[in-house]
Amino acid sequence: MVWLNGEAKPLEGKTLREVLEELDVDLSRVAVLLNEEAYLGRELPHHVLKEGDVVEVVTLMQGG
Amino acid sequence: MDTWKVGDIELKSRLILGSGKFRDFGVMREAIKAAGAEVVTVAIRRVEARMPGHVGLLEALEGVRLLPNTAGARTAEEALRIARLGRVLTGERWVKLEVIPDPTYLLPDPVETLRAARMLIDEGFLVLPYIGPDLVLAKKLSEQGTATVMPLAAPIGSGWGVKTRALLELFAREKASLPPVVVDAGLGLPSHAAEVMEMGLDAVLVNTAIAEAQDPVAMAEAFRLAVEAGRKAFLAGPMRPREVASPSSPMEGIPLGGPKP
Repeated sequence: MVWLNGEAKPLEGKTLREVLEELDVDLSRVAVLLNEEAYLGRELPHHVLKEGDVVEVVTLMQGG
Repeated sequence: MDTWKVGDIELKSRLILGSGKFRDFGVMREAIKAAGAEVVTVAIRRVEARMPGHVGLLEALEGVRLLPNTAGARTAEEALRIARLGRVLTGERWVKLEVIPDPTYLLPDPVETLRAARMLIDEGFLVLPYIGPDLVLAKKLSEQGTATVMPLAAPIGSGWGVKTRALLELFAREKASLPPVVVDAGLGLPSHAAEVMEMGLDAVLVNTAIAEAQDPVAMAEAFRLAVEAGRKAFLAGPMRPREVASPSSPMEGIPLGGPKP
């Protein structure tokens, strides 16, 4: 299983980019944390997801 | 020009705005303009599938510098994770450090904040830590090299005003051994902002008091004027209070109709 935004999902073997495309988010407006390393959505590394990977996909929100 | 610095970043406005709770981006944009704010905080959150992300937010915040926060972090490690994401999303290397374990009072965790500050500084962040009005902690953060310290006036979003005044006065007395002091959280009225500026503290961070006003744009202007007035009053050197009254008119020559006293 791969942890995607706090949920365990069977995404092993897919690339990070494929997962983001499936999420249907604007890559220019998100950042991705892959196992503690942060990347801009449009500067994703080529990474094939494997068991235990932790992925967070985030964006800016209003906040104080 | 009366400016102040966060690390190497020189700022004119002493009013930092939070972007939370505004009813729409248009009102937020107008409020930022009315506040004269140069710096606005933003949060980092997970995206939902098929949600476009911050559409409209960045456009509404054009022309100001974004200060990403670590709101939601309960430990130093979580704060570091959020800060890294904030850095890539905003392109800014500064971060408003919040480590808050308890959602009821939203009081910052001093131990985790100190630990997180060390980790963030080691990664090259300019750190603006949100803390209780604890001078010992502030000095420890300062020794570690934080760019500011941001003691609270009252709990976040409470609008109680400067409930920590006596302890903030110690920050004012010890200014020489501290980085800029930004009073963050709990201010409900422009007079509260003026009060801390009159004490000689460097800046304030305001969100709820403006965003939840009936007219946020007018309230933003009121806060700008109050911060400017408070700062000017501090620089002007306030009088010392006396124990008894002191007449403003001469005590001699009063035409009482009788003999001179």
